[in-house]
Amino acid sequence: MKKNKVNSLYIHIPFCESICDYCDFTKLQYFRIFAEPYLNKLKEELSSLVENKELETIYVGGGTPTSLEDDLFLELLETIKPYSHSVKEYTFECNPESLSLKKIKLLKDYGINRISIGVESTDDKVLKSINRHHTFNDVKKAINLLRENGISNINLDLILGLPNVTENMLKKDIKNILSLNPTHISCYSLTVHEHTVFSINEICPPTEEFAYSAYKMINEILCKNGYVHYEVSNWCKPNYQSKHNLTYWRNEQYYGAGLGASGYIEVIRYKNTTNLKEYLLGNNKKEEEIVGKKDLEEYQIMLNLRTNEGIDLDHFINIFNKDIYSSHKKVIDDYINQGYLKIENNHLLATFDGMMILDKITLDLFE
Amino acid sequence: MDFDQKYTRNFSIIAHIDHGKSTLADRILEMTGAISEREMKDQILDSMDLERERGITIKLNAVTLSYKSDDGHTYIFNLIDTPGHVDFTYEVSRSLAACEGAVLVVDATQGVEAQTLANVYLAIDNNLEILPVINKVDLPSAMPEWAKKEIEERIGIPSDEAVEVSAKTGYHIHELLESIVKTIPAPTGDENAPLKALIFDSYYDSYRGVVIMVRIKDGSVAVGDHIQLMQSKHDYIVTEVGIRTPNEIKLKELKCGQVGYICAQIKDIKDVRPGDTVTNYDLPAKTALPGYRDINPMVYCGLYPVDSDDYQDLKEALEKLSLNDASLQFVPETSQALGFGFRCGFLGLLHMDVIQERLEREYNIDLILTAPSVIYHVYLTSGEMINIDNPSKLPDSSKIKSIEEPYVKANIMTPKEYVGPIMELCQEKRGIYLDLQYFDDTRMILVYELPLSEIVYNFFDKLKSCTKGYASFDYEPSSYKPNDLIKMDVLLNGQTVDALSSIVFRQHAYNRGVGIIRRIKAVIPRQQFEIPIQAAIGGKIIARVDVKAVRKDVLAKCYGGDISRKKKLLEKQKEGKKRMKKVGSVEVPQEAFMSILSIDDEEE
Repeated sequence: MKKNKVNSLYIHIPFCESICDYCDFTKLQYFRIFAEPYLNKLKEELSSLVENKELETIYVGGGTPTSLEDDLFLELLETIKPYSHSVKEYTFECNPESLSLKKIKLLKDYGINRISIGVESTDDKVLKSINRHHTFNDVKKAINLLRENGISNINLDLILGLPNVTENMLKKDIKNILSLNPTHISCYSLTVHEHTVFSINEICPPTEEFAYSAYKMINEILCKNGYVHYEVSNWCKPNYQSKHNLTYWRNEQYYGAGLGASGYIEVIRYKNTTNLKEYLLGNNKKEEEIVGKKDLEEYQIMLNLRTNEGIDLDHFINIFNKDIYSSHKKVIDDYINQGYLKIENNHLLATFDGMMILDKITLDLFE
Repeated sequence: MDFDQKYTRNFSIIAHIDHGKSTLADRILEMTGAISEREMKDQILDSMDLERERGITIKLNAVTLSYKSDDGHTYIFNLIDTPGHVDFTYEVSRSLAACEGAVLVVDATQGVEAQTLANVYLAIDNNLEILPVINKVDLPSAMPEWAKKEIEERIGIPSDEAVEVSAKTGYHIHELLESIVKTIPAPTGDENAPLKALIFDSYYDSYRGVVIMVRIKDGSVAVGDHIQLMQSKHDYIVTEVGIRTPNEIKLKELKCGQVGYICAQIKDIKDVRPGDTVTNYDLPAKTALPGYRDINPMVYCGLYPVDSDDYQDLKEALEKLSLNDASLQFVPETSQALGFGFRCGFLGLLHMDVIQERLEREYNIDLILTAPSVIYHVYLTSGEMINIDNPSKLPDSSKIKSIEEPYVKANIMTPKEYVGPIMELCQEKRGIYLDLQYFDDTRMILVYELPLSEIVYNFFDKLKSCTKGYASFDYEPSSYKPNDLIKMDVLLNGQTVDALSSIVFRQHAYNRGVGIIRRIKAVIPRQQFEIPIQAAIGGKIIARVDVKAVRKDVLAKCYGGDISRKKKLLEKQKEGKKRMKKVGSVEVPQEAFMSILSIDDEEE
């Protein structure tokens, strides 16, 4: 099978100023003595990992990349610079409270053209209750500052189903978010992961009914306001899809560097160690999965259906020499008749209701 | 080993589960040098993994040991192991009948338990000399004097001779062996009389056919002898005899008083029934040994492969298992919902569990079991009586004059504070009160006649929960009694699922129905459409619940690292889905078919 080039790079910065109650990403409290050697190792990893210097997207996530002190922040940008000259979309994840004017100027100077801010809720009481250290006002200020400095492609993250948040409160969140006029909105239904404060406190994720009706409400408001629902949890203004994230959902390859980062190169999906000590010793790789033909097919189905592009049926035949529609005709027709799937321009895609039960549909399309 | 009846001791060990029978057997094997420690698996007599896991002995076994006593003579010990569960009472009685004595093990911290008692009575019925042993005296909580008092007061046998041992540490095992020599009588068979050998166990060997475990009561048997089984009337030529130490040692003949094995190219284990008498074909004994009984399955259930391609494998596995298990019965059966499978008969619920686990574990077949059923006697208006072991086969009610169901006599031993709750439970389970007796100052024995179907339903679990596990219980079949019984069907998405039908007592029907459909609801995954689950009697719906349609089932975040993780999760789910059966358009997991039985309370 002919493989395309790897055009995307994800870099993980695992440090945070404080740890949020629901977070299960690879993250640690920020300490300079860890951050310094970390950046050195990251530099080494990038130089041995990234062969293609003509990357199209870079995404720096965490953790909180902006939690680094200014000099180390600059060092990070310098570290990435050799890979960024041809990049079309260059995203940094930020917390509203750590986004200073100085950092914003640096971001602009180094070509960052997209910012993703973890807003989570627009209700200050709720924010406090989940151990977030910003207010809605901080978000407003940060966005203004970004725009004044020429960065206007902004994503805002929202969590759906936080404890004690009613559907009406969520509606207010959405209105507040809309008032900031971002280009992109992500809205994630709360998952309670093991070993998080939420899990220890036995906080329940939202019920199926609540999550469904909240997503539906949000979707209706956002669509009315000109946003496109282009992935299960993502909406954007026309043409503001996250190019980097589409790499994942199109089942394309990407480099992943940093603690706990994942990558997909040729036929290998790998995951780096989540143990900082191991990482600093240079023992990066933790798990590797060889993607066989059947796996590739299943990844294609699982990931493609998440977006409003769906599965390109012709493309699918080209790659796999197999017509998924005729091999799963009964299942697919049933879902189409029930209003969960549709076929448009020879693409098989999920309706809104279908996206909401995508795991179930995907499972039925496996085998 | 030279053989002399005078220097032979044949005995069993009687103990409650966990009171240390297997450990004690191990120690005896060690002390008599039968096997080295290296050879010894944890508990050698319980040879199947499953038995070891559950701490019970299912398959009987016997071993011949030699012991040099302090009196200077060398004795032959035949230690005959017994299974320890209520499903196998008959086998226990047959293996006890092969002995002159029994070592009664009582836990120094627990005292006498109901199950021990039942087996001690079996031993006394078989005129066995009882040698009490107080085990686990090494434990800080051990109360040997109290345990001895228990033996005297509850069983009514003297306990001053009781040996205090620790099977775990080996403490006083030598004293125990000496006691066995002194207390347990030597066999007293007539070596010149015609052959009478008691069959107490058998197993299948692919080279030699059925291997029969016997105790020679009178006469002797040698290679080349023409033998006959007195109940089954089959006759054979003996090809091999010997003893197990536990390694097999071939002998020329088995003599009076001896315990050993006989091979005679016997093809079918069903011809060799425990309790049957082996005699000489040309010089037969006048009467067979007493106590023989036909053993018949008590509960039946449908066994179906989840994947219909496994049908042939299931058939072969059942055939193989039945080579070694005469009480396992099976006949092909078809179900609209489950396809091709088998209706299987078992001695009891434990037997059923064991077979299920062996099929799944040893033969790797994913199974669906339907809820177990008893055998109903159904009297038709035509005057005919038919046996029904599968509720879905019950004829239309217009053709039925009456239905009788099997009852058992249950002995329940309990601390007296639980007598009230137990009586309430037995009443609820349609029990007929027979007797209530003091067992000692603190415990009582309740005797009830109960429908077997109620025992199968959830009596065990209910008994456990209403007595905090303190009550113990055993039962034996008693009689058939007529009752107002009806068939209840379950409809999934409007379609009757034959495998979910059950026969219920009319007055319990509504509560049972609600309970069953709620439990089914709890295990059926949500699907894109709403699924009604209904309970019906004679076409009339009596209860309904709905499985709501799935609304949200999707991973919210799916980026770099989530991708492989998600795929693995889906693969796992896919495996789980393979174990589901599609009934109409509804995917039904295995558990649903057992939801007719449950530890949950019926709805009030």
